[in-house]
Amino acid sequence: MKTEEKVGLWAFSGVVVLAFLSLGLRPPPPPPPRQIRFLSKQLLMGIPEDDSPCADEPVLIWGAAPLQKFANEVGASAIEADALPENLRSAILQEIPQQLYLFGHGQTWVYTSEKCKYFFTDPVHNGLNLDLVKDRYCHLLSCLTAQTLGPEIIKAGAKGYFGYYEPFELVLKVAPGSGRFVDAPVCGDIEIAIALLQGERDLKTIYNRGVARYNEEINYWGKHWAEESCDGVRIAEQEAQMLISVLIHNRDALRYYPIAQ
Amino acid sequence: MSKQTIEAWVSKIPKLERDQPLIVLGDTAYTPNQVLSEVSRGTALGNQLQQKIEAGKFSPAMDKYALALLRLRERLGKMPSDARIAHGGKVFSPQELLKEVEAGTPIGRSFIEAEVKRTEEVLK
Repeated sequence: MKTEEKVGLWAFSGVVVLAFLSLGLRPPPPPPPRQIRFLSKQLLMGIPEDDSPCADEPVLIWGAAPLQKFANEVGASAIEADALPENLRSAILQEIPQQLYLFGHGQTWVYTSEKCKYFFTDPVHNGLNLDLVKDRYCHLLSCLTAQTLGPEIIKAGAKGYFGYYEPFELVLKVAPGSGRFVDAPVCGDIEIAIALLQGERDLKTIYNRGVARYNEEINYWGKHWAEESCDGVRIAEQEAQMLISVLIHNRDALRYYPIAQ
Repeated sequence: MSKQTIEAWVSKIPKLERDQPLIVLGDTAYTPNQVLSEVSRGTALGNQLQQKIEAGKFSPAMDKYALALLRLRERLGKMPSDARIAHGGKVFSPQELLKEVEAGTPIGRSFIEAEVKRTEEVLK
């Protein structure tokens, strides 16, 4: 949504509230938050949360929090708990985004969305939804897809691919938390989405920004770990050390593939 | 190399690393703060550690692997038991991850390799 449209909407909301108050009526309660937001034509995010069919313990819920925060900050279209394959597909066809940023479990040949349902597969496994990547930047925060699926996404006509060659890692606290400790493992990945949103189109430059962001976070935790907490619980020295190990792993597993020549 | 030079070397190492094993000499690994203590006291060991740091030849590959293993053992042994580490779709407690590391499974080796990289970056 453009800024002028947002301002217009606020002004209109104000008039409605004043009208209700002048009539001695209370304005209606705000609608409940929607699971699907359509705010930006540029970036569409898939942020599934339910991985119960394929994970021993929930994992997605931990990575989802910083991504949801990012989606809100930049006003991206985001499909969250409804990120089922059919919803993702229809949203892409409806929104026509330039940039896909999809989070979820993966294997070398598959990216899965909500409830671990297949969304993208390589041609050996029917090439599911590969028709959707043409002329788009395809960014998968998902394990292992850089090995087979990523190159196939490029062959299918994507302008660029970002993803991971190894399993992605997270450090978790038992209770769901928020703060820099929770956001850190995905910081370099989010930087890639920011660079694309800012109009950067040189994939090597974008990749370098992602790596630099991971390095910045590694340096931060090496110096400032003692100042950090997660929901009021102090981060232990060993947790900070493990976070650094995870950041190094994620940084070095990141790959990008440019448009097919 | 003077004590001041070792102090300067330690000061460039992130605080989080200063009490972790980093310099291997013989069969023992020393933390940066232990190195500084030995050098400050002018011990023979301090002199040897100082020479090693001065030469910049820290550890051959085998030592780096053993050092990474040692660092992970210490860390995972002391980590809060309620902490969790997710590697792909699998979630590990510190104790479970330590078993993977000790057994040298692909997951354990992945953490050892990250630790080797970490020590190399700290010593750069």
